[in-house]
Amino acid sequence: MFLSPILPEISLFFGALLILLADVFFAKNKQEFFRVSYLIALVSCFVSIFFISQNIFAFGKFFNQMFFLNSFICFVKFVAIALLIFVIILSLNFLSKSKEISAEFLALFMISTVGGMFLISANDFMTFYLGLELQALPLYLLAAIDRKSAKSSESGMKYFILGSVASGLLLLGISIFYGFSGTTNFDAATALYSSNKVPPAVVLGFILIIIAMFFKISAAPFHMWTPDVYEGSNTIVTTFFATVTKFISALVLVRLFLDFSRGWAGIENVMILVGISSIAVGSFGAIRQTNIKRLLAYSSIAHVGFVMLALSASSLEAIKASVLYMVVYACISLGTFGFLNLITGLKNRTDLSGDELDDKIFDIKTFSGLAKTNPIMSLILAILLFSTAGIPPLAGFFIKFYAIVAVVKSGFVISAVIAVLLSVVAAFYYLRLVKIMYFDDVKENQLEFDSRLNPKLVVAIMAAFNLLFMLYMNSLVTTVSTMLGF
Amino acid sequence: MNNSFPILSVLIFLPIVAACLMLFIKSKNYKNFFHFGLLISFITFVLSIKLLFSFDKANSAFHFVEVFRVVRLDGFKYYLGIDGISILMIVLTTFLTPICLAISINSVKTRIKEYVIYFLLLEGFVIGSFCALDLLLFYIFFEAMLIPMFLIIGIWGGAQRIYASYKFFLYTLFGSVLFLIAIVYIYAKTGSTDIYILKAELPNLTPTEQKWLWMAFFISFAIKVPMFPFHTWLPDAHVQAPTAGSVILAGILIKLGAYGMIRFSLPFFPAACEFFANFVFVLSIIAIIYASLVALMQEDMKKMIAYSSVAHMGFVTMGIFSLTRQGIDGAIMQMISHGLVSAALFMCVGVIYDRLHTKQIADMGGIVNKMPNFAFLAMIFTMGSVGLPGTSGFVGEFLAIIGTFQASKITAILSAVGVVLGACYMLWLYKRVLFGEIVNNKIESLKDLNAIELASLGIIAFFVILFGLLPNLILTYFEQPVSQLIALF
Repeated sequence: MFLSPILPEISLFFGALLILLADVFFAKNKQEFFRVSYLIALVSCFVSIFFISQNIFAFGKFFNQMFFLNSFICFVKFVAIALLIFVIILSLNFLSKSKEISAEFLALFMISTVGGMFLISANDFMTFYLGLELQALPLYLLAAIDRKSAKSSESGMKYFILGSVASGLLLLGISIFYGFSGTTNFDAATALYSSNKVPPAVVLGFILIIIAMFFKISAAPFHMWTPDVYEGSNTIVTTFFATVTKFISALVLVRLFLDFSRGWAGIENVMILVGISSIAVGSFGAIRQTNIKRLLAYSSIAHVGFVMLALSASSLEAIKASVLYMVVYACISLGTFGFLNLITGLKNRTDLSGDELDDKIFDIKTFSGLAKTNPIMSLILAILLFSTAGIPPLAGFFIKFYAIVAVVKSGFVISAVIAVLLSVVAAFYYLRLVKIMYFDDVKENQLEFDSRLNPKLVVAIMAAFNLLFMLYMNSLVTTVSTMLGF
Repeated sequence: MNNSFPILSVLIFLPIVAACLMLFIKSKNYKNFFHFGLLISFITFVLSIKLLFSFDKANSAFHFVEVFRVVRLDGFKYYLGIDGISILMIVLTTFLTPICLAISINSVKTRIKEYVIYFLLLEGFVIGSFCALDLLLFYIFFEAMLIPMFLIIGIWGGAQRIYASYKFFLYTLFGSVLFLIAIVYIYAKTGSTDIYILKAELPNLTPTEQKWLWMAFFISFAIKVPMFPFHTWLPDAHVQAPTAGSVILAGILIKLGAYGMIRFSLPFFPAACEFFANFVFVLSIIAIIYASLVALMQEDMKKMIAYSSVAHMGFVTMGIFSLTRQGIDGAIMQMISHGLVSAALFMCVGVIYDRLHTKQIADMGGIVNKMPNFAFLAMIFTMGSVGLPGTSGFVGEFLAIIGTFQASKITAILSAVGVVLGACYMLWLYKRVLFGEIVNNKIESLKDLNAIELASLGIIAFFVILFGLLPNLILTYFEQPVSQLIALF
């Protein structure tokens, strides 16, 4: 069928439109509307996954070479939608709590994911730009979705302005690229530069293009928005940023490398620089943070640094390592941010609301003595934190190990040493959180958790994923290799 | 024993799985948790004893080898096996863990369930690292044991516990990441982390590479041992840790560093070992003499014994890098002896601390009048620590010094000075704490050892003397592996 390559996108988009339509019919009954839109969202995700699985061996270029499909891209889409499903399940708490916000934010999640799917499939800088914008615009709205919260509005504004600058740089990069190469098509560019020498201006254009992606995945020095937006946005929105958006954007970068810049002189230096500075910023920046969302934001900057460092090696193994890293890291952050989603409020503190309440909830001091009041939840968080810190035998260790092996194999031993030493600094603040939960005494503010089973299950599954990673690591690595086609 | 029965995996995972199960057990009577933990660790002990008796000393290959293909990452696999050195360390571990739990029954009152869980986890991880025949697998267990130990010190420790637990964790983690980089480098070079393959391939690396890798391994292990100048975390950790934590730390965890040197540094980088031997001698001598002098000046009993550990471990590293049969034999003997003696000494301090709630030497005196049994057992351990002939401490130090004498006379002579200093501070400690007049009313009301304390200290004392009189009981176990090591030099 003519449309079959983009059926996954279409079905997801259709679901989003249905939710917006349902808003009209259920305007009176909010709870009913939440239930219906939740259901529509899940169903359309599963339909989309079904179409992806139909496409998974359909290689090819479609729509005038604008749209590209192969097993790797289908794999990325598959993981992205799986993450989206988990985020939708986690949003139950938010849906039931908020009185003013309607469920249209589910539609925004889905539209943004559709944008991401076009982005990863792009085979032409035109599709690329459109996909990027389609992904970004709902995100600006989402960041500011808590209309009454000053912080949320601030983060939306900040994200919008910086995001626009990044889009501008991207367009500039595409123009330069086009001006010197005469094409916006990926294949044409690959063919042109695989035999000829790459002119410096094209490299410059390409660097401007990847800067837009650095901005999206919050790699230093383009990370400034991350802590503010992560802190200011609603937790469920932050979860979406940290999992779906970050995952797709990082893999778009991987794809750009895989497709046509591998071996370009100078690119690997940019990646090393960005990688090391991200790890440094992430590790040192997190030390002074007292808000757990900001802390996790810095931690995600550091993790992205490892992916960039692995990419700098630009060998096939490095690309495999970075894909694996992003898949696993997306699951870890789904766990940590999902954990934050489970928090419904504070016991015995009904006097607070809005920003004040959020500040209290996400202050790391509030977590003190959690191990005594809620041992299971604190165990789950501790597992996730140790995994993020890269302590074996948890998943976080193996992905770091793989990334570092790739870097060392390409001969960048010094950068590997720096990266690993910096991760000791990072271990300090994860430990501090564990210390607060396990060693400190219970304070007056006690966290209250969502009692529903499904969201809890998501977080528990992610913790188990980290704990038992060793057992199925091999099959995951094999899957990633097959999907990458080597 | 049936070869297909995965006894090593059972040893490792019995405590770990039991600890996980405990999460779901609820009980009002906190002693039930202790009893459950004791039961599990006792079963593990019995299994390890069975392993010890079915061990074939004459066979030089690794025993009870297990390879599981489930966990595999290109070159990395789940690969276990033991030789004469590791079997003894495993038995030491399984022997000390139930004792640790037993002596905690009366002294630990809070969060019992977690306490037992962490000890069982720790036991599993430690056994795992002694069994691992894959470098990465070793590293995984080596790192993983940081978590329970960090929590044990941090939750049940003394007033400065948080500072001490952080220092312990970050210090060790710093060492481990250097180790990790070395592993990554080796993996990138050879494509494997299997010990057999690495033994064959690594000596072919260029001398510069070998030296750097040796250095990375050494710093990591030296922090764990701990050697001068990386020893500063140990006194803090010991002073702040609960009694059982100190016992396990002194008895087993710090042996892992020395074990790593024997298992990895020597066979992987023989040339670099010879190159750096004198450097290690210098550090060991500094550790022996400097730590002994520092120990003399301590006012806190635990701190003094901690510094004595640094000094005793100096003999171990010195013995290992003498690269002679006697030296390495002595080092291993000293590891086992020190594991028993220092564990027992920390338990003695714990006994006093439970009764008087102080560890200051100045607050004590004349305890012998009230606690004769305790004084008798403490005397045996003091003598073991001093290295009196007839105790296991003597065999280890004596062999280590003989071995070193062949390699470097001046080192051996200087280390003998350390033995004298050791006698000074240990005997002086004994005199100040146990002899003399009863200095205050609290001591007047002391009760002698209870049944659990008497039994656990008594068993250890028995072994200290047994190994002192019949060292061949254990020396024969590592005859084969040490011969293989010596053949490299």
